[in-house]
Amino acid sequence: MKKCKVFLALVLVLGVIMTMIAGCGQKQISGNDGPKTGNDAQHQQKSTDPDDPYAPVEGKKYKITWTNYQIVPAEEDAVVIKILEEKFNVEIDLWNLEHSRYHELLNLRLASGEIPDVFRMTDPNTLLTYAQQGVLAELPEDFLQKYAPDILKVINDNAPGYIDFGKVNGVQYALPAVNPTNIFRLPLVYRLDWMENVGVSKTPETLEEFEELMYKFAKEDPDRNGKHDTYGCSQTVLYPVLGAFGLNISLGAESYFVERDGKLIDSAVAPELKEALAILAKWYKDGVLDPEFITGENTGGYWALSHAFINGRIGFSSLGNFYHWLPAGAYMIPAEDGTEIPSNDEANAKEIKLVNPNAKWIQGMPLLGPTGQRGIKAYNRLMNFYGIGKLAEKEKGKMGKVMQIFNHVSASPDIEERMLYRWGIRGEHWEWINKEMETIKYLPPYDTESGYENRIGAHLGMTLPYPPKGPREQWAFDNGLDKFAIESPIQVGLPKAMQYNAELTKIRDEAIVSIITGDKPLDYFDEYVKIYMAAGGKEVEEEANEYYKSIKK
Amino acid sequence: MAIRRSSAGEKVFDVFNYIFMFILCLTTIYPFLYLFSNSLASSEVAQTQITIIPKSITFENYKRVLTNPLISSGYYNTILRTAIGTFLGLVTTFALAYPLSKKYFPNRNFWTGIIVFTMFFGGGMIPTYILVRNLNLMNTIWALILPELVSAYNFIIVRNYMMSLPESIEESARIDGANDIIILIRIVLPVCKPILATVALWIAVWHWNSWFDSMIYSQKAEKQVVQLIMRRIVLEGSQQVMNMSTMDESGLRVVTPESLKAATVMVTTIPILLVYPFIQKYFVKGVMLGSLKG
Repeated sequence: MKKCKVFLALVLVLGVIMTMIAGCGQKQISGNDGPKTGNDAQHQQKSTDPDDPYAPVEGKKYKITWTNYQIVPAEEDAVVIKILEEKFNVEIDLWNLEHSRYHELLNLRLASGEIPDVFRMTDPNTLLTYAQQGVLAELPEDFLQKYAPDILKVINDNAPGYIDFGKVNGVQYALPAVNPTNIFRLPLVYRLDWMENVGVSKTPETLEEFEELMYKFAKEDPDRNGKHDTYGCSQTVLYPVLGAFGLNISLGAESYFVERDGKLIDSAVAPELKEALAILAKWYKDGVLDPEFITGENTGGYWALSHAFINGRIGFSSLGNFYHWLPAGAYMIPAEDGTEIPSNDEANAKEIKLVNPNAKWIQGMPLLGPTGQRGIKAYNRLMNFYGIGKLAEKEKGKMGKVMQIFNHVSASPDIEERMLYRWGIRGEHWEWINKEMETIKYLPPYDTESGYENRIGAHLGMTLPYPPKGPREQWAFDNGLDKFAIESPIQVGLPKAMQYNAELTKIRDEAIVSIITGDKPLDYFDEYVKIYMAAGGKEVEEEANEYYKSIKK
Repeated sequence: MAIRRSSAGEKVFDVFNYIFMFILCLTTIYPFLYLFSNSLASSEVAQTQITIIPKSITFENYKRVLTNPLISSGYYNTILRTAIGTFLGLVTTFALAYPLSKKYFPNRNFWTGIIVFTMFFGGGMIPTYILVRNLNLMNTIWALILPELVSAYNFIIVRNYMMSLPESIEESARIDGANDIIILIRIVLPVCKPILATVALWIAVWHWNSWFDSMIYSQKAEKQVVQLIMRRIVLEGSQQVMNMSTMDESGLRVVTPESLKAATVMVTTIPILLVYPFIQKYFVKGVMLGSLKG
């Protein structure tokens, strides 16, 4: 019996060892990978135009893998994809990579050897990494001019210079998606009924006027309830006050660089910041700045809601975008039959009305500061990048085809075509309200289904800066929202910046909060600047200036 | 047990204990109650004014959640994977633990050692992903079940429990002429019911709650589990705006109302909540089960 057992044990051990050897000896894993793109290389035929290596082969049915912005996965046999496939005689495999985890999921695929042909980079900071890893194809200028002429035109007409953001060391690897509505700055929203109660009829234009108003909101019981329960402002006051000095800092996020005499300096260490902090520290001490400013005005849920403002705790907010504050009827949407439909309540407007139907509010202009600067933050217009995956480069004709299709989907001069690939089939998913103004309405049941455009395989192309024509954007133009916008001169993540930013942001925020709350004296600012620069701030600034010089030439 | 009167000190302790436990329970129940109330609230109720009993009750939110086609396919996938995964997981864990609980199994320590080794060292996400992909398991239910079929932790618990069973019952069965399989099925398994239920519960809850593996392996929408879908619905609109690429590309024209999200959370949590009381007694017993006795 014992001998049997020993023999059995030996056999088992031998078996395990053999499987381990077999497993290790196995030739590589994703050998036949990029099945869709690898096979094509074998069928390489002469392209029709011998001078243009990128010309797609006539009649060949390419297989294209595609990544896009997705919050809901596309269903099997999505209609819009089918239309596109038929139109160009291609096969499209749309990768369902959920937006919130986009890069994690994409990296998984890249690690196993799959590279998408239409390569979306949701986080623009990843461009550098991907280019260095060699997963992106180079996009020479003549190639882009021949195959992506419409995309280039829109970007160069409306956002000149932005195309350079897609370059790494002078080589173009990606096309930038530029947001058309971020030409509008952050809003400055005041409680109008409070203003009336304290006897102020105009919204502030200068920092002094603003300060006066904030003190009144805090001290003179503007809601007339007999209780001393209001403050002037909370966390978002950082935007207009710093903007009045030409600076921009968002707590928890990166600070903008600002140009001074041709050089870039970091808002976080600009000398004007000290002045701004002095003002805010005074407001905090005098009970004008909400002590809860540290945690912010939004207490959860939809990010643009300012709960502090909605609940009547503060009288000023800069949270969200201008349109989040528009009440019903702020603008009229012209219908096709000539009538006009009033707009709906937007996020904050809706909530305020539910809590206090008598509340009124109004938007004002950015503040003029003591140094002559005037402005407030505008979000980056550069949103993300689209490139072409390296695998497609193996067969240049395919690259040409991919770019051609992508150009058509994102920038076709025919607006109906663009809308097809963005929102779906006209008459089934959406319909024009006013073609001139490019406003549409969604047809039931799609009007209540969030993300339906992903499900049907639409939203395939990139966002381009077409000049906004809609009535909502008209409202913004009429109300000066495109004026005095402070934009960041650098909208891409640079390597040193990415390396140091987490630490620098922490140092900066700690210093800002402690100076404002009075924890540390104002003179601590100089010490903090030294600490900040030593912790990498100096390198980041140098790098930014180098980059800025290289793209400005 | 002799009954004795508790001293004053003990009474005071009890009172404080009750109060403390009560508060602890409240902090656990409160978020749940908030979501429950929010899920019944109609859209006329402001988000800043949710009360325990909502001002106007509506079942509209639940109706919309339950008629969402993705929820029903999600549920189907979740239930399927929980049922199959739990059953297969139990079978394999027991099959693994039983031989290794016998002291006379050759090289027992070696095999146990290898298994425990995997508890500390693993390939990581990318190699596992590549493995699953090359086995052609993408978009199948097996990608969700097989990789985590046997947990080393569960195996150790079961093995220890079996080791605590007296050998005499097996010996007496063997004398009566039973072979190993009969002993396993007829004698050992019935005695192992508590540990069976405990491990089954652990595996089942793990399967019910897991969403990440579904995200990377089930690329088709109809194959995704309900937790993944719930996560997507609940996260929508609440992702903080950071510095770059902030503007929501979809323009966010339809924001899922908070109450709808609350209803989604309820719909995905309540079923497991309902199952739990029935298994709880085994769970309480099972906490002690890792220990060896005698």
